[in-house]
Amino acid sequence: MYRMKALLMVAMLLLLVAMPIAAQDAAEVTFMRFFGECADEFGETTDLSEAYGECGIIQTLANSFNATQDEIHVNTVVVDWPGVTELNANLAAGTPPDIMVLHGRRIPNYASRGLLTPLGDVLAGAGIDAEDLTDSARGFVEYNGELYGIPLDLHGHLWHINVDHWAAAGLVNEDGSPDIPYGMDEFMSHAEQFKEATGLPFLGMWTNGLSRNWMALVYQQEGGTVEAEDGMPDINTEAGLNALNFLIMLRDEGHITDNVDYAASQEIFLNGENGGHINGTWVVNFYDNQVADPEGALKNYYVHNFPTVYDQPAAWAGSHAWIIPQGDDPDPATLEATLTFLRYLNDNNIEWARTGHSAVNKSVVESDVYNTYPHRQEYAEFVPSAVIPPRENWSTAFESVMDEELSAAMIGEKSPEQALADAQTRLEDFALFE
Amino acid sequence: MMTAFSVERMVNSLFGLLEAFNPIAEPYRRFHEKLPPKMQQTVTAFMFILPFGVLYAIFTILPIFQTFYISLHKWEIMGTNIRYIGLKNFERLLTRDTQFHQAFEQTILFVALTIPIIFVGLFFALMLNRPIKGIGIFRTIFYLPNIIAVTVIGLIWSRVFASSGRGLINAFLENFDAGPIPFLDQGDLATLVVAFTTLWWTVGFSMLIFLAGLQDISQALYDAAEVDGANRRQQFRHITIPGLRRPFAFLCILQVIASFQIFGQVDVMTGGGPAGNTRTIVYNIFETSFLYFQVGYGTAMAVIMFAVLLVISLFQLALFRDQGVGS
Repeated sequence: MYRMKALLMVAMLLLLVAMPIAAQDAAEVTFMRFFGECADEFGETTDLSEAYGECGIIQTLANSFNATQDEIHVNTVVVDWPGVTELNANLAAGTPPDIMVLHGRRIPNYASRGLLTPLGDVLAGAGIDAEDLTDSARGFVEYNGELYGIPLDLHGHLWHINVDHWAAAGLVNEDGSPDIPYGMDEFMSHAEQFKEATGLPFLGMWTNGLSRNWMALVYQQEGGTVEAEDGMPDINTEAGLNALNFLIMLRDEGHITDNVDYAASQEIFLNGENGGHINGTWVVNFYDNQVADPEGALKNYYVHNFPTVYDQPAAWAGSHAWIIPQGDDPDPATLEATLTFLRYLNDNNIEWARTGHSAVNKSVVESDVYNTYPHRQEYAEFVPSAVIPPRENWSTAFESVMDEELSAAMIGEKSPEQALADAQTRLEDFALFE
Repeated sequence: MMTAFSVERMVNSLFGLLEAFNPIAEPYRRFHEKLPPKMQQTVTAFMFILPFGVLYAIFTILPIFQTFYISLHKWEIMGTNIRYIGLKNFERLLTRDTQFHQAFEQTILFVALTIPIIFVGLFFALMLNRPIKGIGIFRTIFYLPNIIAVTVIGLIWSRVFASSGRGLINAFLENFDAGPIPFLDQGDLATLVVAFTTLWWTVGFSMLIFLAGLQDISQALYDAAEVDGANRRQQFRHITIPGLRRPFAFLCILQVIASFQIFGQVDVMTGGGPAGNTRTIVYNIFETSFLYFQVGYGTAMAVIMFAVLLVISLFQLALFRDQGVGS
């Protein structure tokens, strides 16, 4: 018995020695994030100027924080986008991460349940100036007047354009920039001219996830909304039907590439198989790098705000935000270490803005460096036109329900009217059950 | 703050747990010696299965009862906002939730589409039950997909069937100016693709069970039939098929249960789309519980599925019992 125990102990001790263990005296901070896995390329990078793309920059931020001090060690846990499943499972198991990136629109769901640490009283002590946050970004992390996170960016949908194709269709200005249409008539006229000249679709978008584009088109109409005054979903409206019919019409007339998912829609654009592509701020840096690729089909890239086809500009917008899911009564030492890392992330917000996302600190937005980032001025009107999803609990299901019903209308399984009526019923049911 | 996992502490705890039984070891030995010999054997047998029984009760029986309990509550995944609501989850589920109804219909369709796996498995088993040189290699190849993780299977086939020119099949069709076929973006096609993927992935298991069944049939029966002048078809009908009743019954029950529980392929390949056309009950449970937080409601769906599977399994067992299987 004792011999066996001794053998087991030796084996276990050897195992422990072989396991990578962080320095005993450094405080550990568990950092959960999505944005992909890129340890192969950026696992050892600590120089922020060498990093690019969402994954590269976020990975390098964590690396450089670990490299610049030895009191706190950040352990990165990469999860699948949008990270909600992993967060919920960890919360249920009582092992939430110390800090995590979450979409700002999800904050009310967690804050209302007491799962997030309120930050209003602790930020100043940690050297984070909440007054420096832009109003639009701050709105994402507030709930009932309290701050429950620090925004990382304001992101949203833009119009990515292949300028060479536009030039071939005669749709460029004298300075070579694209002649951006404004309003339905101009937009359709451009689309027709483009198709006639090039034989390619004018626009691309992933047709299995149309809720964001549909929502933007709703808000472009006078009085258009998806939320009633009482906070309930308001989907089955005239503006909603107009927006959906417009998307179907684009498809029917061959102006958008049909039946494509996110990856395919991106590839089609980068292969030069359409004139433009609706995608997020998050790909600006990536597409800009593609232009430098001598073998790439995209040679002349321009990015503009989401197309305005109705009365006023509007674009779907979201925000990535840092949250601290340590509840109402966090361990002070853990919170202190986490806030130190949070301050580092916030201080380096300008690095994250290189991805193409809009910065969230006024000091960064007004800085010269920020405004000289590639293409930044081309979509300068994105922030003023940004529309954020409703701050209601039913918005948790908004995108998935709407994507599904809009898709049903696009592939002809339901009439547009039926699809919107079904979406309304499903979201109402969800809202009432909450 | 994450604390380092200590294996040493765990081992010590385990030994500590065993040592905790020391005080009762001697009294138990005295009690055991006083029992009649026959009783001693019975008690010893029970003591051996007791650890398993306790663990089985904790990790299998208890969760089943817990599932029923949670289904009667509004219960969020993080353990927040727990409130008893009686049968309201079931009322919503059965009367208003069109998404669940669609998922239920979709699951039935998947069950119907994947039942042929059994017959394909039988066909492969018959082909591979021959004394050919190197037959083991073929058996391994046919069984191989079954040991691959569902995520890998899903990724492979979603690349093959991708709707645009990125997909292997559509890229091939492009060479002939055909396609692209929207395999994963049209409801019916996506359903067929997921069913086909399931077949490819799991047919090896059916094949293996039938192969074992075929090798259980005595060669003497075939020899006798041959002497009596029975041809191959007659031998198959009167010897092979009756000999495979048990594996057939076993696979029927397992296949129906597995098809009802289809999840991984859907999650990786279609995410329940397009337009909810491939959303199955288990995927619906996952969405409701983990993405929408409503674990009480999701659990009610699981209870419904449990009831349906129980009825189907009992029906199948009764049916096979009537046919002499298991007697």
